[in-house]
Amino acid sequence: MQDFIKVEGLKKTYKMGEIEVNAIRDINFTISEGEFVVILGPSGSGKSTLLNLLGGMDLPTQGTVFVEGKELTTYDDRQLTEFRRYKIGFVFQFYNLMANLTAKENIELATEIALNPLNINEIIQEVELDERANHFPSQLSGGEQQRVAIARAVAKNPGLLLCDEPTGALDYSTGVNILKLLIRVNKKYNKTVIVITHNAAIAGIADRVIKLRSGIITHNEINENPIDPERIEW
Amino acid sequence: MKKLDVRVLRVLNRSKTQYIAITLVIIIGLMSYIAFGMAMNNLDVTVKDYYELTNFADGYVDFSSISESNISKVGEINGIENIEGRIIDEVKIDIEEENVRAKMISIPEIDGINQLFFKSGIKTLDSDREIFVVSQFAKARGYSIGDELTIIVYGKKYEMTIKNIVDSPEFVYLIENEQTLLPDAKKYGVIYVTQAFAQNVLDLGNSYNEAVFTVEEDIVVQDVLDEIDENYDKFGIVGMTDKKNQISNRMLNEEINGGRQMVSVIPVIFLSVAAVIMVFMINRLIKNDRMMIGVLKAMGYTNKNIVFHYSKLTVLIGLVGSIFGIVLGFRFSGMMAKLYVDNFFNIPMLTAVFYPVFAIKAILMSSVFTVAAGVWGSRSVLKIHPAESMRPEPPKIGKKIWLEKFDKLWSKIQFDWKSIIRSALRNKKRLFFTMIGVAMTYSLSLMPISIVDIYDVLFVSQFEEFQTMQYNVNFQNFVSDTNILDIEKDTQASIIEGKLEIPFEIENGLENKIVTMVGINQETQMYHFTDINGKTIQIPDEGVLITESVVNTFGYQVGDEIFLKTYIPGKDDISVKVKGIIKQSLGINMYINIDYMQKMMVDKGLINSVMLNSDEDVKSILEDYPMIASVQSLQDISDMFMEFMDYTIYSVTLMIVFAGILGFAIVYNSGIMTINERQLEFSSMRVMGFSKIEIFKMITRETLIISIIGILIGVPMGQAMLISIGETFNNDLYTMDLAATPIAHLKTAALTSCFVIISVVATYEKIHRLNFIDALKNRMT
Repeated sequence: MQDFIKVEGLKKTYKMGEIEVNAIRDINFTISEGEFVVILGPSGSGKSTLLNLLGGMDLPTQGTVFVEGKELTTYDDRQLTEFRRYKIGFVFQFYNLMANLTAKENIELATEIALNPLNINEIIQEVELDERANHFPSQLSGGEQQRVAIARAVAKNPGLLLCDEPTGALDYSTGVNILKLLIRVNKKYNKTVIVITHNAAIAGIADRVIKLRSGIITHNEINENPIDPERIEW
Repeated sequence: MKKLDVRVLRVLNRSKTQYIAITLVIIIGLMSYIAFGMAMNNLDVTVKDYYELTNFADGYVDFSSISESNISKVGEINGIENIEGRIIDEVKIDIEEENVRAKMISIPEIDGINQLFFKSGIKTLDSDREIFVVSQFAKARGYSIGDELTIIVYGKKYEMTIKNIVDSPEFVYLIENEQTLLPDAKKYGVIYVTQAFAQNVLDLGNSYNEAVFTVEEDIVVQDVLDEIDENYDKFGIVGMTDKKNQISNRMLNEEINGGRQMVSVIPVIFLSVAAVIMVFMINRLIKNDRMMIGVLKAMGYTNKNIVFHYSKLTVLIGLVGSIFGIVLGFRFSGMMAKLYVDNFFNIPMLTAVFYPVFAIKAILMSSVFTVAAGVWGSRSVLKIHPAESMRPEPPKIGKKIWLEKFDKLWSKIQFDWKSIIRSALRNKKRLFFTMIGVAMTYSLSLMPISIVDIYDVLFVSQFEEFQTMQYNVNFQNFVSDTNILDIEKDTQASIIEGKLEIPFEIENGLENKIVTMVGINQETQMYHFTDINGKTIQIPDEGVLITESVVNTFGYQVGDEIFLKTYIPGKDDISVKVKGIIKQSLGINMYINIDYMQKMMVDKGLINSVMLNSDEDVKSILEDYPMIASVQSLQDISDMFMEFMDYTIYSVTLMIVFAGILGFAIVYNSGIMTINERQLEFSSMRVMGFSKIEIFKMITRETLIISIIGILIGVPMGQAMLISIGETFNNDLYTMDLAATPIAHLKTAALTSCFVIISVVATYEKIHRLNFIDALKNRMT
């Protein structure tokens, strides 16, 4: 079976004034379609940089990234935009919803540019926001906002969901609910989900766990027995 | 509706005041453009229609006397379409204790030249004692049909009955002559009498003293006048005027041309200001939305999508501004045109043509400015990298400002002032724009404020500094200067001088104009001549002093020889040397030694006017003098001036309101942007215990410093604007020395400060609403 994501010899170096920062140093891994992956690492390990490279938001200094057999690293700006538009759904730590749009409108904002979006009402039901759909972000709790963000990412019907510390700003029980929602999305819609986090407890729910430290993969293994988010604690 | 479009509406709704202020600027720009532009076009069309309907004359030739047959001979000149003889002269209206005069004209032929316009009623005069009166005069004096009035022609009284009130294309703007500052229909009117009556009272037999004519299409009137002058001087030509120089028509055309120039400038100023504010506003919004733009890009929105999104904000503001501007512009254009035809001028009809092209041009102008502002303002979207935008923006590098080089000075400045100065100097573009905005508000306010002062200065310089006589007494013809003694005795004049005023035609290149030469004593006490540098000069023994307006019209300089065509029968044309150029605010004249002039043009000892100062009631005393045509007092002119000033105050107020809105939009928006930019800083200060008032004071101080600098820039800028406007409006009737007085500058500075203070107070609401807890959250929702 062809790898859904294939990363080879990936390097990313930033220039910060006079200093060069090697955020990612020679990374290689593959991810299969439909996998729920947790990329684990402490702050400054290169997680977000990796997520940005996988999501076509940034280009590597060296190496290649293949998604569904297409080499992202050869894409120009227009192709990267198209890739993000049709193939990727992002979920951010601080939700990043449009303050001036209601929950439902935030989701519609994504579906308006999608080729084959999912049914919005169904997604809203799925994230259990039927009652809150017409509320503005400022009227929603953190957990509700993150559910909107997930719904927005899923509604476009992308193949890959990239989640940057999706529980980072939430309390424990809300965080668990969000993880459950992500697993539900992963299973029900067969989306490949990559969650990056510094929270080691979350690793237990993943099909695959990749650990990063100082821009290098220190651990990449399949979790044969993923556990229910209800059973994890932090 | 697309969700990003929904966001546009909500963004607009969130900062309503800011956007309304910008929209108002656009509305004013476009409203003025359409209202003035259409009014000018309609005025132009109306005048043309009116002239066509009444068969307005193309040329006028004054004779001492000309017979019907000779008029027919003149009419044979190639190019003349129709010619008519008529009788015209100045008469007095017999009203107790008032000096009221009128031009008496024999009624034109039915369907003839310069036909009268009758709103209703009788169109013919059946008896020699019946007259028609022009409507301005009738209205000002309260005359109605059937009223009786007594006219005095050469000392003889005639009882006349008003048969109808009429309008004439010749007197759309009714002023006595080019020296008259403003129309005064209460003191000067026009009456129409039968030809027989006019011939009889002026002792003209069957002759006329003026020929009016129209020319065939494509014929140059001046060529016809030249030919008449060349071939028929023998008939005793005393003056000539073409349609272009006919005083009423000239004033009308100058108003239309001046108005059209304003029309082309006003929208550009207002739309430019609106566009610059919008560029800053969009720039600020994009900085605030940096992370959101990153999210949109992460979701797959293209740069084009996002630039369009922000441009829609400015386009929408432009669209709303255009709709209101167009609707109000069309609404007011009718009122403006009506104001022109009824109040400024006297045209009994209005051809109201709707010009959709103004709406199209307004939309185009607004679109160009708002689209440009939107695209230019949102170009920074292109620089936002989606991955980087997810991280909070690093703080700006806090470089030292130049003032900090002066250690001793800088160390003495308090913390809050340091913050204010740094904030102002670090955002140079906005600092510059706000300063220029305030300067522009100052300049635009200086103009209307100065107009009041300028007219005042114009009045003072002409009637108190340049001319110092209290009365001007004009004779009906040349009289012996021995009359001066009688008048001196009767009026107990403290000073009295004779004067000789003769009109000449000057032709130089394409310019052709009648200019009055004034002969006065070299030691005159009634005139104070100064050269263009303000240095006193005297009338030369020989040669003439010319006014600046002669220089501007004909380009003559000192040492040039001026060829003067005379209309005094039996006198040859002359040429005189220019000996000096003098300042004169009103009118176009030449001044000459009276002895020299008498020698050249009339007999020694002849005058046709007297100037005098007296504490007696000169008008009453001279009322029954047979040879006197008119007595004009300085008081008459002063009264007329005050009436005019009352009228001017409305347009001045309107212009000040426009300038105020412009100033408000600039200063308010700049203040809001400062608050938005420094929200985190202010929130931190609130957490530290600073009160809202203390923060408000900091912003106020920053705005006030910028405004003071803006006002200082506004002084020379306003002055330059005044001069350029003066150059547009200066003509041979007015020569305005457009320097704003210190008082005008003080008034303008106070007014601009008021606009700034109102804008600053309005920003307090934003400070009041500042939620420092929310603002300290580092993320957008």
